[in-house]
Amino acid sequence: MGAKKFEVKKHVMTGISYMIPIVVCGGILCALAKGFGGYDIGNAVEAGATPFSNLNPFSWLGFWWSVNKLGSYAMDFAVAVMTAGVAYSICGRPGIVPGMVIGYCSAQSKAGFLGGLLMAFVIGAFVNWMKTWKLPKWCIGLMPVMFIPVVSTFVCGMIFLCVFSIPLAYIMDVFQQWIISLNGGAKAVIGAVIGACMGFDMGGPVNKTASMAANALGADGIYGPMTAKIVGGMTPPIGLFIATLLAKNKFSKTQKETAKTALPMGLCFITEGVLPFAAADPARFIPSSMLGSAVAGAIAVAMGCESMAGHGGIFVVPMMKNPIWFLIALAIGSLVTGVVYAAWKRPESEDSEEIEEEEVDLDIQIQ
Amino acid sequence: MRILAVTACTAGIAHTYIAKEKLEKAARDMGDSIKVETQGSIGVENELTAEDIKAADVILISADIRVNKERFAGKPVVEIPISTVMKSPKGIFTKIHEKLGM
Repeated sequence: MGAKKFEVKKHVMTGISYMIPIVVCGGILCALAKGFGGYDIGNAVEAGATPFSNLNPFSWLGFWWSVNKLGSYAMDFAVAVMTAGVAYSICGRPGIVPGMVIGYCSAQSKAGFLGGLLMAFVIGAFVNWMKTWKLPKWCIGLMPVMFIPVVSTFVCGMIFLCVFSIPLAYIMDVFQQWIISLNGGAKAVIGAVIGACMGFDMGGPVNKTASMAANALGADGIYGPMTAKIVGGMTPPIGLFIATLLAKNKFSKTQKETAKTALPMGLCFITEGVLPFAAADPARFIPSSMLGSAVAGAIAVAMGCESMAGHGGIFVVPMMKNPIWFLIALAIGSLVTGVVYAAWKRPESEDSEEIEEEEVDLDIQIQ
Repeated sequence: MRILAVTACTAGIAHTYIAKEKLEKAARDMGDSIKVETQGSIGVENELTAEDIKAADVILISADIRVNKERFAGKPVVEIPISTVMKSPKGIFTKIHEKLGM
């Protein structure tokens, strides 16, 4: 992997890393509110002078309306936090303000995740260039508190609104309209594609891209793909656990122990639980997990499962639409992964625990 | 050799800590001393102190996300993706020994 490519990936991952908690928070709060307060909870309180003027938080509907409001504010800020995170990774602290503002702008203009990501790189480059300006001594102190935030937000923000926001919003809109227009068989295809991406690299960039597509759709009120994303991320660890039960002789003692921790991680939608296995045997494990995740995603979306929550695993299932079908999809997908991998895996001899190590190349730099 | 390491992965819940264990085990096997700071989703744990950094021979940053390097000024720093740590923790140390001639 080239150093440059690694750098770009690192910036993107930093942003996503900051965004995950806010997406989880928003998704679960909204799901809770809708689970207890009803599907239409968002309209339960009429706006007055402020959205909260007519709120009585001590009534049942008022309480869950408030929870829903917190969750939806969290979702509104998700792209802003991601954009700020990527910009911060590229140009350090001065990237946070323009990243927040323009990321929020991107979310509100429906350019969404893609717009935020693109602008984060523009902001990063622009701020890094501003830092090289040679200024007279008296105004050096003004640089970080005044010039950078004002100028970078003004310039990059206007670049976004004048150049990028319109076509980007159009592409996202076309893609989302296409998903909305899918029904029956084609819905299963979308579920399968999202599921397969989720099972491909267990928390890596492909997995996160599929997640983001599902989250973006969720933010726009299309909740079907979210179930494909959740189920697709849950089946690999559960499937692996099933494989260790089916083919006891093919796994070493340590592997069976590790698989026991993979089961609860799978139920909590932490796909990363299978990484030790995926890393040790990618050629066999990844196709098995993609297959299971794709099957599960296809079943869940085709059978009309919907989820408001973007995370939470088994705990958010009761809040879903068609939860029984979700559980059936989860069971079948996990079984597919388990059976395929159990059949395909080569027996492990107890002493082959140590993975073959490759020659490593690295640079040492004096900071 | 005294090695310090920082690990940080994207989600900050799994890789960060698996990498820490891999590095600690590899260092033990090779007879190096190591201290690993994790920067997970929860924040910094097992923080490297100024004295740690002063006494260290090399600093290994294994991260998929941004890690601030300012505090390691003047020290030899190696940056490596987490996936390499997963695959070849010992290979990394062997190479570091070779390059630093220690």
